[in-house]
Amino acid sequence: EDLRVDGRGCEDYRCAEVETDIVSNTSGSARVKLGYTDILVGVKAEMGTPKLEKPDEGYLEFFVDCSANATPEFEGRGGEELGTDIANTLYRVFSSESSVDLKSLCINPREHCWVLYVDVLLLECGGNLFDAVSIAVKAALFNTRIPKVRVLEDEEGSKEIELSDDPYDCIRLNVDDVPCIVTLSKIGYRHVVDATPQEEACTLASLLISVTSKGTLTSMKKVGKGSLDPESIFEMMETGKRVGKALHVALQKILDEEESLGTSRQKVGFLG
Amino acid sequence: MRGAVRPLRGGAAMAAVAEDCVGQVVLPGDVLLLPAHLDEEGERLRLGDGAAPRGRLLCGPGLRRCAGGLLVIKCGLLRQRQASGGAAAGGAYWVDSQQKRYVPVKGDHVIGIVTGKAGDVFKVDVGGSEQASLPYLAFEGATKRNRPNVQVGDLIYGQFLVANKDVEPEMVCIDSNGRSSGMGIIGQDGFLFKVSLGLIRKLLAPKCEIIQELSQLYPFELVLGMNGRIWVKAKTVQQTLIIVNILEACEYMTAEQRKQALAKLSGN
Repeated sequence: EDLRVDGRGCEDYRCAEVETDIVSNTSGSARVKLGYTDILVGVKAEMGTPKLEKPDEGYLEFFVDCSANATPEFEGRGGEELGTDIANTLYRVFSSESSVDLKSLCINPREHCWVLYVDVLLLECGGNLFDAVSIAVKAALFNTRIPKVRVLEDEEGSKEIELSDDPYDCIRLNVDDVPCIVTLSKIGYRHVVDATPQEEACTLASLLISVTSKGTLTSMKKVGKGSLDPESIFEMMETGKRVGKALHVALQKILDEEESLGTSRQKVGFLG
Repeated sequence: MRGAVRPLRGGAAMAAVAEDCVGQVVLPGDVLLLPAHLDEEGERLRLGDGAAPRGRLLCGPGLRRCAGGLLVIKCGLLRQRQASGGAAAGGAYWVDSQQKRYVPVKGDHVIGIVTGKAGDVFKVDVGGSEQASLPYLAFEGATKRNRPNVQVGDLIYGQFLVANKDVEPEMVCIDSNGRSSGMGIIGQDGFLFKVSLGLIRKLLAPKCEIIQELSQLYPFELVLGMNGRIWVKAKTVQQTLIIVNILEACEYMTAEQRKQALAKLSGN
């Protein structure tokens, strides 16, 4: 039957709360609470030089910090391995060219570009980290406001960069194609979405797939020491696409609603 | 509850008469005087029926004997069972405290999970600091030739034979007469979950309302272990999960909220 311990079906997510624009000194931020999992993402836009092989594009840098408060295993340096694991997965998910329009981050080819430093902080670990992190990253990128700059040429040829005076004059990123990660965990003969820590303890193998809002798969990764046979991988991919599309629709609706409330919105932040 | 809170004390613990504090909050370090001691000090004269209780006074969990009377070692509500008519029982005092971590106590019935076999005994996890040992002959009708069919991962309902802080606990699945009286291996299916010890004691009280109301909802099988573990089995998986979630929520729900939740469920 389609029943899990807390009464959910195999394809149901737990109740998620998303809030953006909570950290004031970042260009964009978001906090996602999925059950007991709590993730905070901050995006900072800084000027940098483009990479040599892509001179007319900006780029994204990911850093994941597992707070020692998240779970007892993260004491001291215990969370570093998981942090690098999540960061590498994020690099892979965003490595495809269509996810974020990097050309819009370019100011002067070969000289100046915007570098988006995405910092992820795991506040509490309550199962299903990858999904929550990807939802938070998408929400934070939606919330990012990059100031508009103008390049002025001097008589001698040296370039000056001028920041516009208006603080609300900024460019926003288009996050329609940003993928979200869906984790499918195999328990027994069935697979479930959004596993709780108890369900994760029973899982031998899981499949992480990143799905865009149109339903295209951008990357896939298998984790765990168990094995998956090809037929179940195919089924899991189909489930993942279905669940991913629904997730994108719900997330976009919430982000648009939050945006429409504008500055009159009451911020809950960390005290609510 | 305001009346039950006692006024602030100074440095030394104040002694109070045990009977006056029944139903009030007591804190560790409080000394409770027993009527016998009062007579000796000659401060009060007790009339007629209020005489010192005859027979043995039972000092229950959360209390210890000390020079002045009873010393409280756990915080909670003080409870009393009145002396019954017979000469032997002299009444009992104990402290009703709440905790989640279980400490094995001799005679407690608990649910354990078999984690391994070591020679002639099974190693059982009961939620304490050490695993308990359960000899394979401690089942009804078990002999050297006829071993019980216990696998790793099975659930066992048994009672403690030996449980103190110096030695690993030992449990058995037969009572002193050699009969199982409901103990032994718990059957297939069903669902095991953990709650706090206070809720278990509430459920084990005679004529517990929660269990009566639940039994009107669906028929189900229930095993309560004093170590905080409950095993439930109903006809379908959905009914089992509903009962599990209600029992877990009973910890924090008031009686009206519980009645509302059950009314909604039986209406469906």
